[in-house]
Amino acid sequence: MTHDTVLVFSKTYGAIYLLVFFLIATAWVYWPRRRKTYEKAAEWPLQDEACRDD
Amino acid sequence: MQNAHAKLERHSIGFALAILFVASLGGLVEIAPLFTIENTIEEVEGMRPYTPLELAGRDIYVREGCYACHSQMIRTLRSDVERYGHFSLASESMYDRPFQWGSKRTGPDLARVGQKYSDAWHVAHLQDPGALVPGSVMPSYAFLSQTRLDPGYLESALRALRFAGDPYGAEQVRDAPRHAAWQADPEAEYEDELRALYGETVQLRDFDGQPDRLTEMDALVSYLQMLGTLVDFDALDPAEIAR
Amino acid sequence: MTLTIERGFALVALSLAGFLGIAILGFARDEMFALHGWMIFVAVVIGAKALLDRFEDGAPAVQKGYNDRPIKWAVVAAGFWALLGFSVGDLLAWQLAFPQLNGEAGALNFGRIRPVHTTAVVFGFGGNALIATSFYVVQRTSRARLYGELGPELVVGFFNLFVLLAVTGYPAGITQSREYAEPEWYADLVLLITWLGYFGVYLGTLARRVEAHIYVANWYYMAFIVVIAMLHVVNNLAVPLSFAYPKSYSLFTGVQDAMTQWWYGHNAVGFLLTAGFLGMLYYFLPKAAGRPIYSYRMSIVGFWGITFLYLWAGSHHLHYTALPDWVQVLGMSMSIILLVPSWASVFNGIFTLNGAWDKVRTDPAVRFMMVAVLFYGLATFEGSFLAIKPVNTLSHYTDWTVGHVHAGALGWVAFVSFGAFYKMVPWVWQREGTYSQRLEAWHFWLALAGTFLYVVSMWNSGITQSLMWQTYDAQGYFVYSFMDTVIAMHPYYVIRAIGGLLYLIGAGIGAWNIYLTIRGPAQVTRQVVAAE
Repeated sequence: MTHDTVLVFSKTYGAIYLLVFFLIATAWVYWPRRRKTYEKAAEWPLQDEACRDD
Repeated sequence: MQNAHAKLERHSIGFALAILFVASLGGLVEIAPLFTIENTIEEVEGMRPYTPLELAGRDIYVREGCYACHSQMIRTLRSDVERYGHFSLASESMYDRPFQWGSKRTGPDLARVGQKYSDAWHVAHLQDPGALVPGSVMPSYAFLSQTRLDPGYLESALRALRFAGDPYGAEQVRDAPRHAAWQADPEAEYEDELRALYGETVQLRDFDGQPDRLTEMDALVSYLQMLGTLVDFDALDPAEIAR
Repeated sequence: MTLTIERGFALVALSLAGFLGIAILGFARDEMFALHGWMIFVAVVIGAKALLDRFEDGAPAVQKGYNDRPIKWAVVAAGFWALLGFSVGDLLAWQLAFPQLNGEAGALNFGRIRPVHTTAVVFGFGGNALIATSFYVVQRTSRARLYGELGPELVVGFFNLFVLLAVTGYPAGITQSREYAEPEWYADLVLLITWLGYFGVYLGTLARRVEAHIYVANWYYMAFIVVIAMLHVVNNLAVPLSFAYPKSYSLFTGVQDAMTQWWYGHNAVGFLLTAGFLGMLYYFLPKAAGRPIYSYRMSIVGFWGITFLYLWAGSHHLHYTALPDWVQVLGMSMSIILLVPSWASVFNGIFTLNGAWDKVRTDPAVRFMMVAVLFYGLATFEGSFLAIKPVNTLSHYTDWTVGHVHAGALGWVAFVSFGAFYKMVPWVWQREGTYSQRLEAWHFWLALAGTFLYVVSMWNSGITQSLMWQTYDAQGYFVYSFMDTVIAMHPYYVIRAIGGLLYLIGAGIGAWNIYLTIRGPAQVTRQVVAAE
């Protein structure tokens, strides 16, 4: 392995792979069906915070 | 109930593992190749491990936190090279544990300070920086002249370095305390022996102006005086080190 | 008397630390090293005594309700280290303006006490603030009691033992001289054991949560815990000399050592000073504003962005050095992309306040958090900017870097902590509110003025010095000697020290206010943590 192979990889396949991975992850989070889950999660700390040990 | 708990536990452990995986990628890609890729460290003539006295000096440099204000890394910039000398090579810090490249120049770079000033200048400067360099903000290190160097620890120091991979022989480890005293001997009585072990670039003399005793000042000045002096850049082929 | 999993782990951890302490105090030939052996030993004895008391008093292994005792300890410790760290920091600032303040003894020289400042503020103040708030947040968002009875308190106690070992060692010359990783191997081992315990407590508490989804603040806290553990272990790999001397030599040399160190150094900023405090922000800001996070989904995308990208950025600390070029370019690119998730958090924070702007005006704690978000935006923009190689030629090795770090540390990290503490302290001690909002406001304005003086003077000094270093005359010679550029810094150093003093006074008022809050009367109703 030399400097050049590392450089070429990071500028081509490496970069494309990361971009695609990022897009998939973002799409996953912003998928409309998951909207409710996250809205509920956002309200979570504002609700009654009593300890619910049993 | 128990089952549900177990499931959730697995979930958060898996989550922690996912974090660890994602976070470790950057380090794996950037650090691991540094150990395997060819040309990360150029091979140059002249690099050798520190002598025991220089190592003791370096340990004092590390102890006093000099890196907070002095770098030891000349960058490949014109303003760096013209002020401090040839840019630093990776191989020049190949025996530095830890590296002391620094991140702040409150004072000047020290990568090639060796043999630019006399021993007497260094001693006087370390004792009272402001007196020699008006306006200096460096603290006084006069106490180094009054502190005897305890060379006893150097044996275990060289053993640790050898364990970490530095090319010290068994004799060098065993006699490290003695070798430290030899190097600061004003008569340089054991010059040949020390040169045979550590090479021609070893400087032997009394460094601190107190020939009768071995002090921390001796050690520190011996370290400062060898910084950047090991590689002979006139003899190097510039094409070879161009990256 | 029952042996639970937690007690078993505590027993093993205490035994390991105990052996370490005994070995050091038995073999050490260095005075301070021997003292450190004793300190570890005494801490272990105290911990073991508490553990044995638990065995004997027959209290049930599982108790009910929230466990806020370790939080209180960590809050007090954070306050102590903050005052110490800010004081030493300001002393350092004055030393650079007037070097006579270094004295003759050596122990108080700039080089020796600089890490006292950085360790006290980063680990002492920042670390304790994170432990305190994370214990609070994980309990409340899980609606469950903290895992373990003694574990959390041992974590707080031994974490502070680590900080104490570190800051007492530096003046005596015990240091690795690796920035932000100065503590020697034995202190590192104490921290490692403590950190595993912290991780266990955190996971154990999450396992008790009532809702399947883990609230996002906990994600950030967890990234902080996990990544700091990874960085700490790899960067501190070293070969100790023996039990006679505190010293060790790092396992890596030169260029590999430099890359490992800045991978650590940059991500100590990324995961201790950023991810952890974003966790704090994502809980305390919505609570204080009474509004949910503006976009919960953006906070998740931002989380993975930060977790992934930060670890690549460390090499921008080594531009134009002997580090191979491809690593430098990679570090620069990732640092620039890092701005996207960073600013996503900034927008998220600011828009969360939309509809609650009156609270920014009336509640200094909310104001602290809002300004913290703005400083976070400033510091992350500046960070990406300084990572660009040509810009870096101007900023590197100068006070600009110092100013940049302090824009983040004073303006973001400390401000969000002050805001969170002013909210959390009354909740944990069950008080109506803080002792005085007027004192909070005084703290706010002093801290803001101090930060501005600091950052602006360091911008000026950094750029001035760098330009002077690079000024040539018509013949191509340098116009300024190095000393010319040092002397030119003097006025900026004085201004910076004054800024630091204002910040310190503000923090003193803050600590006094917190103290009076704790001393003050308890809440009348037993209603814990009602949003105001």
